[in-house]
Amino acid sequence: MTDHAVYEEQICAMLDGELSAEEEASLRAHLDGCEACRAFLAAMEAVHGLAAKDLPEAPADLAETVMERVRAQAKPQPKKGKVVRFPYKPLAAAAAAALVLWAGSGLLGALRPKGAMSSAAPAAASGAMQAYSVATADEAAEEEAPQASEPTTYGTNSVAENAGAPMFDAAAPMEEFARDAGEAPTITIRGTQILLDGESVAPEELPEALEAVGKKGVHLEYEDADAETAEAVEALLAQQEIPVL
Amino acid sequence: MTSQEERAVIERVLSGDAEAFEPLVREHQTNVYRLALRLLGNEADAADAAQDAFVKAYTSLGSFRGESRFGVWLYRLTNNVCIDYLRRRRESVPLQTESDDGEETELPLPDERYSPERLAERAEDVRAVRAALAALPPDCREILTLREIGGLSYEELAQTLHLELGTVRSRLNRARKKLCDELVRSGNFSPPSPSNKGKGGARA
Repeated sequence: MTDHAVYEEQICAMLDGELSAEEEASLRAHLDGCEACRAFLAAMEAVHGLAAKDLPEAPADLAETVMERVRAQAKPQPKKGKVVRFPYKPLAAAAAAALVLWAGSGLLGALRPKGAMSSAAPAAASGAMQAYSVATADEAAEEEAPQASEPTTYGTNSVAENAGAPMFDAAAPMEEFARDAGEAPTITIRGTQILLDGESVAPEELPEALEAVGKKGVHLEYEDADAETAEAVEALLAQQEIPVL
Repeated sequence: MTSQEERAVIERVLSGDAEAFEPLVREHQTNVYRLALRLLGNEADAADAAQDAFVKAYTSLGSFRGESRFGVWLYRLTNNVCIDYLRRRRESVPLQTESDDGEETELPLPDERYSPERLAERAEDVRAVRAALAALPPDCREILTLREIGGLSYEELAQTLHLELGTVRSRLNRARKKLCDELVRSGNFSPPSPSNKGKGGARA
């Protein structure tokens, strides 16, 4: 960059008020002795602010039109930190089936080390699981229920004992499915994080998670939400036709 | 509105008071609209884009972290909305200029139609300046507009446009030089002589 290009930029910056007092003093000293730069300064002064000149005011109805659209937004702006936990509700069929798969794999995992088990065992295990999942949430929390509905092909206690452990863990994911039967869930966008009823959801898991929600609708909350993430979630909701309550 | 007052308004909106957003709109609507007008070239699009920008600002208000001035955040948002408009305009170039019911559809590039009412006494000058601005390369028009209408500092321009500070300076310089050249070329600008700093210049 030639010397004069530097001066040109400085002249521009001076007119924009972006030069320090020192830099300006130095520039003015140069201008005293340089006709070309003085000419440049004159030209710059002439065009300065032209882009902002002679522009009309905003249309008189702009603010009102904006406010109409703002009021029509489904939800006013982010409430901070509200995450609602739902009480246990009876499991819906789809949720139950998913639970069977989840808990069933856990049970199979527990059974695998016991080499004596025949192929009948996993089938029976899922049978036990199915019986378990049909029960209400409260009942399922108790260890007794699975044992009570145990098929008679099982004679050994060890299976029943094993059945107890994963069953108990099954209580945790049940909260996730409980929402399906009752109130609408809440999606919280915290920064770039997406939470479904307080549980973190990876973006790629979200479409699936939303399918379980159905068309009932969701509450949408923003906690310092990242704009792109928020837009992506909103677009997904629109795409799946899930109303924002 | 002081920045403290603005922060207070934003807090109110974020806690659910939608109506509190209106003073923010009124405070910035002139600049947002003028920015859009310079970038898009016609009033109808500018009005639409300005509305969209404000609504978008409302729905994503929770993501305003207060690191920059609210106006800067808003003008950045407006700039992005306008970029989208321009992109969509380019992508939907109509094959004919009239639709079935005979209405003129829009031309893809900065469209210089202004309603007749807008022309002031010095109509020639206004039009000349507008034409000269329209003739600028998009990046020059963008930075000049954000600087002069949005009032962004060089630092804010650097952040908004993801540029080095040096690039901001050189691009603004280039923009203004081109503006000069364009005005001279169109016969609307006699560069003032260096010894008479106050004389000459654009007849505007």
